[in-house]
Amino acid sequence: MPVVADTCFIIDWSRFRRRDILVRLFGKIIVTQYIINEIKSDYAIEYVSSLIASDKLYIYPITSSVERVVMDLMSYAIRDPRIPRVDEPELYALALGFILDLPVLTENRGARRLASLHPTLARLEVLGAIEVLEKAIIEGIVDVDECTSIFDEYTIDTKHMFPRKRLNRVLENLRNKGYCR
Amino acid sequence: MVKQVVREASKPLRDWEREDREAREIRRKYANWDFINKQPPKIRAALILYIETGDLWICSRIAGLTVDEFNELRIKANIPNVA
Repeated sequence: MPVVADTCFIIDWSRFRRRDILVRLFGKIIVTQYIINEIKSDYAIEYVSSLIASDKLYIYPITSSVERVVMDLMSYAIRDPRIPRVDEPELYALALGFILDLPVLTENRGARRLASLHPTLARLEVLGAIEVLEKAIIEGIVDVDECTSIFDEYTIDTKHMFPRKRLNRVLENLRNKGYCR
Repeated sequence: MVKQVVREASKPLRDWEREDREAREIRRKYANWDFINKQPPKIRAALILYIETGDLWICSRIAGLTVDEFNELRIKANIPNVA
């Protein structure tokens, strides 16, 4: 199943030595045009270019129907004091995920809380890198022997730290299901 | 399909606040303050805001950089993305 990704997620992910996992897991990645204006590093330009060349990256147009969903989400987020600020790229990613009924990749805490609290987004699956790696292990894309080292590799390559409690919970879940030794 | 957001929705606000606080403390702890303090005012302000919020996009706007450029700067400043 394809997935919608926000700009920040793709930029973070592009530095990962095993960034091919994303396409192996989801097939196609949907983004907005934001990403083209935001990439500058060799990592991100090479990654995005290779995805486009292999027809794995689709740039979804920002239409009035997308804008309407974005405005609704923004309006809800502003009124709920539990939701930190959600920025434009994340709002568009959530809107696309809702419209296309596809999972959304984002690390933004505001976007994750908005998705968990907004009644319209109740069915929307929101994943960060930690859940993507967990899925990759469950799907057999990452070997069970690498189930702890893969998280370390991601941290080293991207300087992205997973909160210890959250990582321990994921690893425990994987061990309980026999996906991790 | 695993519903990751269901787990989030059941969290009380204080759990979210604790997670935010812990993430902020990690960013503060690892940050290279010498590097940050040597930056021009706009960049320094954006890096400090990133330490406080962890929000890449808005900090890149304040710095006058793209998200990717600001992410490279975050890495040079040794500020982890905690999520």
